[in-house]
Amino acid sequence: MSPDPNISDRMQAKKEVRRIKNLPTVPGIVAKISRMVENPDTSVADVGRLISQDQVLSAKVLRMANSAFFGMSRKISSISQALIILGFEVVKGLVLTSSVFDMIQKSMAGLWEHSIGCAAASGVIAAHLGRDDAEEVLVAGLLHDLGKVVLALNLPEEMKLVQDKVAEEDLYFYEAENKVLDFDHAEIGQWLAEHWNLPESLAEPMRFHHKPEKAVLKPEWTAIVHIADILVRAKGFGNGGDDMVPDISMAAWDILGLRKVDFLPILEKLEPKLSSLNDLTALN
Amino acid sequence: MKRIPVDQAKPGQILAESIARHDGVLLANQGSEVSEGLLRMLVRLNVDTIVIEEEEGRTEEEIRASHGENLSRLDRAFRRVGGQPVLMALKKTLAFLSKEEMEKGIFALRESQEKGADEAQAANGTQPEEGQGEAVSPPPKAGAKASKRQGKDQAKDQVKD
Repeated sequence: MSPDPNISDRMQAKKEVRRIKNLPTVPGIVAKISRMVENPDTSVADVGRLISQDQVLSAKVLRMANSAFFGMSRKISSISQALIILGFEVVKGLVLTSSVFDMIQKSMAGLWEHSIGCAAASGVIAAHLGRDDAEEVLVAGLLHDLGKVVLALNLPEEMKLVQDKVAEEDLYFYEAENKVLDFDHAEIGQWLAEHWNLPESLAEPMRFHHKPEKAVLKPEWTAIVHIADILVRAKGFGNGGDDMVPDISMAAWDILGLRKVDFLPILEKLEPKLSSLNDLTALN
Repeated sequence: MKRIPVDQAKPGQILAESIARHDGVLLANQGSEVSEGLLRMLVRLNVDTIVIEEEEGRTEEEIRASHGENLSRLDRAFRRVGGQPVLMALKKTLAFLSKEEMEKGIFALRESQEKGADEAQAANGTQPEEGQGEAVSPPPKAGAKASKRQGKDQAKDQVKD
């Protein structure tokens, strides 16, 4: 790294300051749900009622619940129905996504589309592998790039430097981040997940989707999000900060047991979902 | 053909695929025209998307150009991972799907052109001619009979990729 220890210290200090001072506060409803869940007397219905009180939020949650992600044959018309059909973890994830939707849209053009594309691809890959937690992995795919949102909104000057570097040196976004900042959106994602008390099921894909072999608690989910990210970039759906396909982790490929022949059925399932998701680009 | 959300559909568009209700009951046939009534019914039944024929505006050149653009974009997207076998397989699969999309589009376009030509000649009281234009391979599902000219012309028509 840097030969001058003083510069390392400064960078480290800079990092620390940013960690604590500049991270956005967790959305109120997410914090409330976390608190409620800690109380053993809380029922799922109680949480459902809490969410339903926020009509704007509920509307966003229901739009996502009824979108092409989940391919439900029946329309979900209430939060309590969503909780029954999709499960608590998925609804929590949709609540979180709805709460940060405005932030995501403001941060980077095309990032929301990239995120919903990654979510759809995660769900398709998980379903193709015969997993019964496809909907939950999908949520991890939705939120994997939250670190970029924080970068864009909280460190806008640095964001511009990073984007300039991507263009000048033809780098991947995370390469430019590391050159300019000495850290990247994956690390920011980890800090955010800690600050917001997010479960490891979301935190690990946020932290390790570029290095999935490092995931410890959720290696398969992280691997799925890693591959999903590759697919949506390959398809050119949305914008993740650069226009290139990142290198694939063969560890992730192998842990999932995927084969080259799987690409065709996966892409064929993914394509109509991506077309349908065009109506989710404005969640309002 | 393309899939669009129901709320973006307009009367007059032609269905590229029939629409079935969730329990399998047929709601509208492939080839039929979208109407206000159909759209209202689809909304009521919570049908999210339909597949319609692309607008007449797309010429064969435009369809081919679109595929060419896809191939260029794929080259750019994969420019840093050229040696990676799994990713090269992904690239090939995407190129294949784009080509398939192009061939379906051209086939549908020629079908509707031939239909138009047949109708025009029927209106003029003359018989439609067989084998107008160059032959192109239809997608396997169509089950169309291959005309004698196809072998030679197919070689001319193959897209180089």
